[in-house]
Amino acid sequence: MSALLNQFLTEGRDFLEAIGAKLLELERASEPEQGPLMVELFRLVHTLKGNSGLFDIPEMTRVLHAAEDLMDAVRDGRVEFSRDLADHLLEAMDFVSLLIDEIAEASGDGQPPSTSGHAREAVRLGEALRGLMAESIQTPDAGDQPDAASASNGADSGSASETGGWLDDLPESVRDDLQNLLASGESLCRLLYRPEEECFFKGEDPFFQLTQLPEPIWRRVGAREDWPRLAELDAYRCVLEFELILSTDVETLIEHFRYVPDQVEIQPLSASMLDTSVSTATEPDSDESEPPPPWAGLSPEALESIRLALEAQREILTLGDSPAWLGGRLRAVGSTLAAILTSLGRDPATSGLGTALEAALATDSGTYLVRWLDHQTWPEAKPAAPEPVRAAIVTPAPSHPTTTASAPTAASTPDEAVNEPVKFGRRAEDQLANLRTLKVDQAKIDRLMNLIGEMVVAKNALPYLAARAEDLYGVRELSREIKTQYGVINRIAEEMQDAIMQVRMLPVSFVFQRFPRLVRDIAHKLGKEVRLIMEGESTEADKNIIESLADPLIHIVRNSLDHGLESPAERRAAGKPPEGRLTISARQESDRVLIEISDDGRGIDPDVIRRKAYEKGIIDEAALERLNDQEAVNLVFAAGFSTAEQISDLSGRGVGMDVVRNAIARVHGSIDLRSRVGEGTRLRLSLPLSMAVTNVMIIESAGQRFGVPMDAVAETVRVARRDIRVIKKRLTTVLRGRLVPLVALNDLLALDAPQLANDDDELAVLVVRIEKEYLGIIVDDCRETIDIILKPLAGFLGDLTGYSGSALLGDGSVLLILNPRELL
Amino acid sequence: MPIEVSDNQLVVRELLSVEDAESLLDWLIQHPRGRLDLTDCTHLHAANLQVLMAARPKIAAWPSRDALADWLRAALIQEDTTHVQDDSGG
Repeated sequence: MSALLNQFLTEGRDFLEAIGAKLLELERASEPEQGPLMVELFRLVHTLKGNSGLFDIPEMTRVLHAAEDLMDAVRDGRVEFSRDLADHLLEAMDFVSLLIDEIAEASGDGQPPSTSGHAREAVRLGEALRGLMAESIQTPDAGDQPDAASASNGADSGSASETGGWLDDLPESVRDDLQNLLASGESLCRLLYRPEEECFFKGEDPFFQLTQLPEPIWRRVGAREDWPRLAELDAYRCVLEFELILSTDVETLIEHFRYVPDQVEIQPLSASMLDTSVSTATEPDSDESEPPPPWAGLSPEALESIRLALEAQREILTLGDSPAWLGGRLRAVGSTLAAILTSLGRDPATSGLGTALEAALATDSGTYLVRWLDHQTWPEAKPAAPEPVRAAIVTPAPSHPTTTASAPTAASTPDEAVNEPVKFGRRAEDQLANLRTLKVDQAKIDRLMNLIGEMVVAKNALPYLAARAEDLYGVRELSREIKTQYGVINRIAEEMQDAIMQVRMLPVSFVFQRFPRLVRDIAHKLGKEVRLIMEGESTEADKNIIESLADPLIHIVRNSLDHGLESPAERRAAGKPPEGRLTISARQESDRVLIEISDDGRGIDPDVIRRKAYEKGIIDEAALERLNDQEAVNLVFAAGFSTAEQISDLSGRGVGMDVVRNAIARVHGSIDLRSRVGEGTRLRLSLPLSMAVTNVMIIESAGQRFGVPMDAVAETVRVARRDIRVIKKRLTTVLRGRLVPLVALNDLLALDAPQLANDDDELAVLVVRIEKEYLGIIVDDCRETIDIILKPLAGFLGDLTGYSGSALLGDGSVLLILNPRELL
Repeated sequence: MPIEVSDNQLVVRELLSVEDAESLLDWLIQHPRGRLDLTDCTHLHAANLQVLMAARPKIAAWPSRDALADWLRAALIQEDTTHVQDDSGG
């Protein structure tokens, strides 16, 4: 599932929940309180609708659109908020929630599955919502009147005038053809398509829609009104009207017109329809075979529910038992059938139903009614709905007051006892079961982190305990057992730590996603052509790390675009393709995240850098000679260095790469710059996956213990006192052919004690690496390395930059962690 | 622009898009006796269809694509009965 869809589903559920809560609140709220709530509710529905438009879910968008229009009317006071209205909105939201669940279950390939199975329900809900609006507005304004309502009105009036004779309109030859096709088992449909007037402005091409269908057997292209004189014709107000007979099944057509279900009428053709229309010619007085089927004007969903109702009646009648209430049951069936006849536009009194019912009651059996049923002409039964879900939704929900244009559907099932519809109305109960994603306050995760931190510390106490058991009490066995136990707890603690860390992980795409736009805009501004390539967006790292990356990365990208990549003309002159390439890639390497930003631009000229650095007083003359090219290139990281000839509004505002380097260093990352003149520049950021646990080495000095982060430690050595020399008033020694300056920790920390040497008069030296420079710190002793949870110093202690924080040790003592970079 | 004009004849090439409907209408207003050559037309947007239906110009050549030609014939060659019936529907 694509990240976007995933996010939509998660957010959608949140929105639905909020909408539901707001609706309930609105019901309770007093008049003056309703205003702001209403605005808020509108905003929620509006946003959700907008989001749904990103995906191919017309059913959802349709319902939400209707809800939005209704809310808009409520907000403006055109429609009064009522319990009935809230019911409808809640029902609509339940429908949306059902769609969301369905999409969440089915999605595999990043595209939402087709939800066309719900198209009818969507139309029904949409019309119901719009109906509420139309009802309250006494004088429907043509401009305000939503298209669905007007379209259905149009359909109604159209069917009244037209269904009377559309079959007779067909040429004899066509009718024969149809009959032959039907006889050979083809499924035929009549399609009436009236695109709405504004459809051209929505980018629709109704004619194209039709040409995508299979070749029709018969067609008529007309207009809803007389054509005006050419000079007065508005080419962009669609008044077309198409009528077709196709050899397709209803489902295909519904799917084909799923975006405009309210503008089409689809009607399956049956042989009986053609038969009756033929037979009318010979015996026009026949009661049961009026020329046009009287239900021709009903919508497909109405016909479908009638069919279901009829099936249910038949089932009830054929029940084998004969309970005491059989008479009541037969009467119930009788009244249901009468209601169906009414909604089909037939008169129950003349249908013989009454006689059949009397006969049935007299004989205490449903046989007569079944026989009556068999002798009636009913609307063509369509193929049974394929999946049960579908059938459940196609069934109208009579429990909801239907006040709308789709009134016939409600009339078709007046008898709820016999035709219990599957309700999907209130989904409040089953909603909780399938929550997949939790939204958790970060503070809660942080608390978990702290707790696991304490757990790690507490766990670290066990080795001390083991040592005491052995040394102090001389119980070796116990000591060993404690150590075994420690191993187990250690494993679990580490896994817990890992799990919690996973929770905090974010993909780098969080930062990367804004680059395409950024690069495009900047490149456009600079008149450069740039192709951005991004790789490894799914690489994950701790939230804090990712967040701290955002600003440095943007700065680097800007630099690349501004200074690195040349203009198309320059590139062509250099024999490169005019389009520059900027690659941003991320990948994980053991416990670090590597982010590389490379371009194929002009690169950094070390000589230019040397000269600039000298001019700005960053390096002296001696250094000018001494620095090799790589070292020179690294000068761009020096504070106060900016190479831009002209200060543009993009980069080169004096905040240079030193800011970038510091920002990266703050999260214990490092940065590496490689560049070749004319070929391009590559910056590589290396960041820890997580900052939660720090590996430190414990050192001793002046009787105190300190920690030094392991990533700063290059090595620990013993240096004989006689090997230490003083050069330019600084202690220095030679380590593996390299000159390493030395400082005493006690001096750095202003501890008034000399550094202690061991019995061989050797001093312990901790060699730390700071920006590729090596430096030795003389300490009294180096001890073990441990994992600690680093807690930053709080309050006024926080200003002591020489310490990066403190940690609790297993024996309960506090360990101060040195920050070598700041200390030196 | 997929429309070529020669004298009193409009030759339509490939696709008539929704934007072309305006110019088609203009041309038909200015050339009431204009003839249309649709041989190379592959599709026309419904707005154009509407214009053609209102104007009923002489078709010099129907599209060579049968499917489109069938549709256009159905739309442009009609008995008047269908027309009368439409009035009540509007």
